[in-house]
Amino acid sequence: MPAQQSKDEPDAELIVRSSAGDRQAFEVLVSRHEQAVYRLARAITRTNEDAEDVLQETFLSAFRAAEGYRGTASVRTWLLTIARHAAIRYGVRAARLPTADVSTEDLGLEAGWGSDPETIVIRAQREQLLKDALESLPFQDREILVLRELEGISGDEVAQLLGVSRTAMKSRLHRARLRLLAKLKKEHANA
Amino acid sequence: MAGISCFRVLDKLSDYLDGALDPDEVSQINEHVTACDECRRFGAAFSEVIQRLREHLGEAEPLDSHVRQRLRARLRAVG
Repeated sequence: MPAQQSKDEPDAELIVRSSAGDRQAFEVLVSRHEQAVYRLARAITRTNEDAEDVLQETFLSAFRAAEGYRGTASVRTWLLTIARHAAIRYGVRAARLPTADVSTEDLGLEAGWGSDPETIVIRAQREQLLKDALESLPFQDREILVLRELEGISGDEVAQLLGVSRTAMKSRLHRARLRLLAKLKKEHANA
Repeated sequence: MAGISCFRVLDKLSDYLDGALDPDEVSQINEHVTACDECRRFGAAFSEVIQRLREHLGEAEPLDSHVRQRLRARLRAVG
């Protein structure tokens, strides 16, 4: 098939051709999704080296398992699911969420509810401060913020990818957002 | 304050932002924030920060060319 045609082809067709050993089709998939896979891997592992290993492992696994793709999620979500599992296997170096999690009310207070939320907005206007705040969150927060806010994946697909209910996904997302604001606020207090 | 509590508003902020509430709940929150300065200010900040996150970091940085090359070399090596 001509290269241009491959580039315009939907993911679902490319994965079918990949499963038959078509490397050109698979290369189009790699080009289309490598940044998203790397970003999620980086968000979970927090090191460039591990993220690169996860990137390679993800696409190797996907090529070998293309036959097994059933179309219950988009190809992008399928690839990100493989990447997530690989990244967690590589070891999560970042702080995990505390076992006894704080209440939403306390999180809200930490995030500036009832104090001075405008200073947080000012800090969020600076890209590097936002990056730093995101980077400093526990990996469960980073992964859900990357998937929902940065990759724009639907709530249902994120829930599927994380292996949780939609209700649990929404709760995790809300708490991750609050913790992001809390980080920005804390950085402000420390500045 | 009449109607829903500040805690309820805080709890529902993400659903409000994501358009995941039914019209009655949206009305309740709108009514609350009209009268509650703290919730109105925090809700505005919450929404603004999430919007900034999407705008500033939404577009993934291009992969380092060496990372891309090593990935392709690894894939080529698979029989």
